[in-house]
Amino acid sequence: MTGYLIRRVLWIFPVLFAISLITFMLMHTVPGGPWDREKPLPRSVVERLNAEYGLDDPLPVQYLRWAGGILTGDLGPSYRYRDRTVNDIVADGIGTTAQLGVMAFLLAVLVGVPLGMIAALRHNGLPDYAATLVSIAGIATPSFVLAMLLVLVFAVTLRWLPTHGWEGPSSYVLPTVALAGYPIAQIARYTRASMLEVTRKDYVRTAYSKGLRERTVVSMHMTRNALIPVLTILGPLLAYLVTGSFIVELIFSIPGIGRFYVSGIRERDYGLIMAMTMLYAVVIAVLNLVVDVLYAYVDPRIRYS
Amino acid sequence: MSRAPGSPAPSDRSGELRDIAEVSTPEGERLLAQLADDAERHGDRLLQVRDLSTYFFTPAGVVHAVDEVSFDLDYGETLGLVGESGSGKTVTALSLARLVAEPPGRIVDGAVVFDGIDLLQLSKEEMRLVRGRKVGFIFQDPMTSLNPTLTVGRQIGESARTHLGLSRQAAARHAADLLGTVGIPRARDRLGDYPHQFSGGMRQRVMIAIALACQPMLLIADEPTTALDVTIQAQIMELLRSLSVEFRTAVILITHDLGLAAGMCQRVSVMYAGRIVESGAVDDIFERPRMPYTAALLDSRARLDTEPGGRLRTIEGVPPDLLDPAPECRFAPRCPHRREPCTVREPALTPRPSAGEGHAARCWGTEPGGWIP
Amino acid sequence: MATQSPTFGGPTALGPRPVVSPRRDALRRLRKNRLAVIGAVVVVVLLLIALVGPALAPWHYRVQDLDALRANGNRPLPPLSPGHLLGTDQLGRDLFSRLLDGAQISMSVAVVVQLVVLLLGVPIGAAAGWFGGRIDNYLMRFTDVVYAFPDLLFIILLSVAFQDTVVGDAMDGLLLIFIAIGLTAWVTMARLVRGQVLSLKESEFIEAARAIGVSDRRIVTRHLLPNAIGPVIVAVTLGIPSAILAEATLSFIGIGIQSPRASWGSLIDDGSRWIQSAPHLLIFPAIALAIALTSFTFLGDGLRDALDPKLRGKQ
Repeated sequence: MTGYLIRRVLWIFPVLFAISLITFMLMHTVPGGPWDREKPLPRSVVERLNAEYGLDDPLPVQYLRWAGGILTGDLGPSYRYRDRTVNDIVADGIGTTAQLGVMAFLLAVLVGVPLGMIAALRHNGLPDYAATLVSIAGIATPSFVLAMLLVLVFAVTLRWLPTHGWEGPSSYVLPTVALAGYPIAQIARYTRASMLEVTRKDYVRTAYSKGLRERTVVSMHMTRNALIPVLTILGPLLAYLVTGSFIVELIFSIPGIGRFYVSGIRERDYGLIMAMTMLYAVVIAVLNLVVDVLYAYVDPRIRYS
Repeated sequence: MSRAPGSPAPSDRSGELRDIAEVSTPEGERLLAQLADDAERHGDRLLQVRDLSTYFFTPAGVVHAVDEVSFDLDYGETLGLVGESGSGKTVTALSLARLVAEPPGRIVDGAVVFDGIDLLQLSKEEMRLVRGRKVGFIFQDPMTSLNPTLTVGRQIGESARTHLGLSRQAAARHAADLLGTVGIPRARDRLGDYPHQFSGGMRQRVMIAIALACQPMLLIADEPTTALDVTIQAQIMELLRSLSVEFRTAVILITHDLGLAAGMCQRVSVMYAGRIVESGAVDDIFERPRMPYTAALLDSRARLDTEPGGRLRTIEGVPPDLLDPAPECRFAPRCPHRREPCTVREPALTPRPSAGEGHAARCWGTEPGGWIP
Repeated sequence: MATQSPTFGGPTALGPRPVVSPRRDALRRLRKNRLAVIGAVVVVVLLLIALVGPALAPWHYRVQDLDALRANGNRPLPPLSPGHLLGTDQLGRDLFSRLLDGAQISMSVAVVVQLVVLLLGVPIGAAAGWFGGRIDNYLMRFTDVVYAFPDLLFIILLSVAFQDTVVGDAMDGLLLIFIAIGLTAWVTMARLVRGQVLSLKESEFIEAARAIGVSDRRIVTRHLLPNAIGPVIVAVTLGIPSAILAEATLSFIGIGIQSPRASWGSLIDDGSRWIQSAPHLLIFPAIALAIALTSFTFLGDGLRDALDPKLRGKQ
């Protein structure tokens, strides 16, 4: 397994390199420069700005400068907020964004897994239908829709919870739920399917034939095996959480890095877009690596091979 | 070591549990009592199955997978349950331990008297205590029948911990002993290994160890060697045979292979279409089959003295649909000796003392006065 | 189908099973799955709506009913107002008609993206699986990289980069969306097809075909691919919700379809500003989106269960 791990870790670097290259090239094929506003700036100003930001250097040089910066942790300047670097912006909000992401993830796992398990164990019973309903709802409502429905019901109509902001536990609830909706549905669906498949396995029959207690069969023989395949969807779900967070932050005006990303997109702040895309990509790549390692560790067939 | 006065000495089965039991601790005392109880016989025979019927309720109709099956098994005896796929032999075995999936299956009738107690009347919890402790199972495919995420040591020790209350260490020692007994080298080292780290034959040995962990009185082996290489088959069968003698365990061997049954069993029951169609001592069955299906089975085996270039003999036709079966003899459509009574009513399983002691067959033609000599 | 697949005869406790073609067997099982049937019906309805709906809409999607608007104090009209079944937005545009336009957008995204996926993913995946060796290696490394790039981020990048170009303007921005989403989605299909080809390549019937001298191209097109078609169909169907969702998300952020066209995502974005006073602007597009997503998902799930070879012949 260590061979696999090492290869897996090393693989990240070419991937990140390719991503940085693609990102860089895409942003630099954009017609017009990053200085375009409604009123075009006078040429001299544009030229001065370009010189100042090194945008008149040949592309490979620019790339190396930018990529080199990323490697050393310098995310570059923002082209819109001239008095702040991307680092400043990120440092401001990364904690909040991370907090939102972690809470949504925990909620998704702590709700999704038991939901799926109970649905499978009480197949075709009431819990099964309830779980299926939740899954359907989660898949049908993207995070931004769910967010707004939640706001409509709980903040506007019932006035139980605030409509935006990130101060205090009551303001954490709606954004976390909005972000976790889809993951809960997927985790529940996969867990249920996996559990159902496991209950039909021969080794479960062997466990019963040994006269083990029901709870032992369920925990030691069913759940252990059922949860392993569920790990495979964690990777994409984590990616979803990372990219979905910026939409939720936008809706709830949460002071994380997400809303800057969106405003950067809307305002064509290419420096910001590039840097934050790389940041998101790195985070997702690392999370995927963690999931892969976890999967290899948890399945004895991979761990000892 | 205290013993209840007048009770027999602890059964001299393999020494492992006895070694643990001989340690003077509450655990040891408890084990001792259990082993003593094991040695006693609470019924005339170990197993008396009467009119066992298991049906499957499907959208297409009711499938009579097992229909009024009756047989006996003596303490320490080996019985072969022989038949082709779909004959109901596996479902019969599962029904004995009430392991049939409740929907869509259900045991609709019959009695399974095991060591004096009707298992079908027990509560679910009482039945659970019988499984693994008094009845051990060996399934066909050791690859899929073992939990891939638990070590072999744990899987063997599980039933001992559940039923005999062994501590974790005692269970581990016991598991190591068992692994050695079933012929796995360096047993102690391999306790922490996972099933995928064993070869097919070794995995089946592990399954045997699991089945024997609590020294059950009955071992049910469902096609234990079908999934294995031919060379390994012989080893496993020999292991089963010697262990059943050593542990004084009765065995029900389920197989489609007559030769296998002949090699190990004292008595054989032949099943067809959910019914027992013939049963008797193994030699009697082979030399004097009293039911055309049995005869045809015997005839269809590939033998060393078959002429090269000759064709293997098969049985014409296919087994009947068990969905609401017709009242005729179920083998009649394929039977070369069929006559009118066979298509009217199904024969009963009646004795054939001329073929041997305890021999019975279900056939109009071989009844006294019938047309089959 | 051009190839042999295992037949199902054989005696069991249920008696000899009728030999049914895999296709008929799958259709039968699909029909029994009620959710899948409902999904299929809704999908067909949606596709029809997308085709003819906007032509039959009461209003054009950009027409503003200024009279009614002014009469309502320049506020969006509520549902069941005269002439406006579902009300209007703050510019007096009929919501129902705009929803129909959104349906056309979503459905065209669904169809075109999957076409791209099929046209790119299937040949590339089949080539990788069939030729193996270096070709397979390079292709797989390439797809690994594309795969590792988070979908949404890539789509956003592409959309932002080419927004103000000719491509970006084409078809009100639809063309760019087709390309952006299609470019990320073909990879999964390629890997799927590759996997199928790899596993089928070793089958005996392929060996037999090779032994009698059937050309490689014929083997792939007439023997391998038809057998791989099941998972491909499922993947196409299940890939549609994510394409629709991606488009909705883009429009919601503001970089997708250009105004005044009415993607459900941009309708939801508009509606979010009127949550308190005119919630219908949010609710109806949300419902439309939900219906589209769930129906394709149910259909896809049903297809997957129906085509699962492990369930063949069973109830």
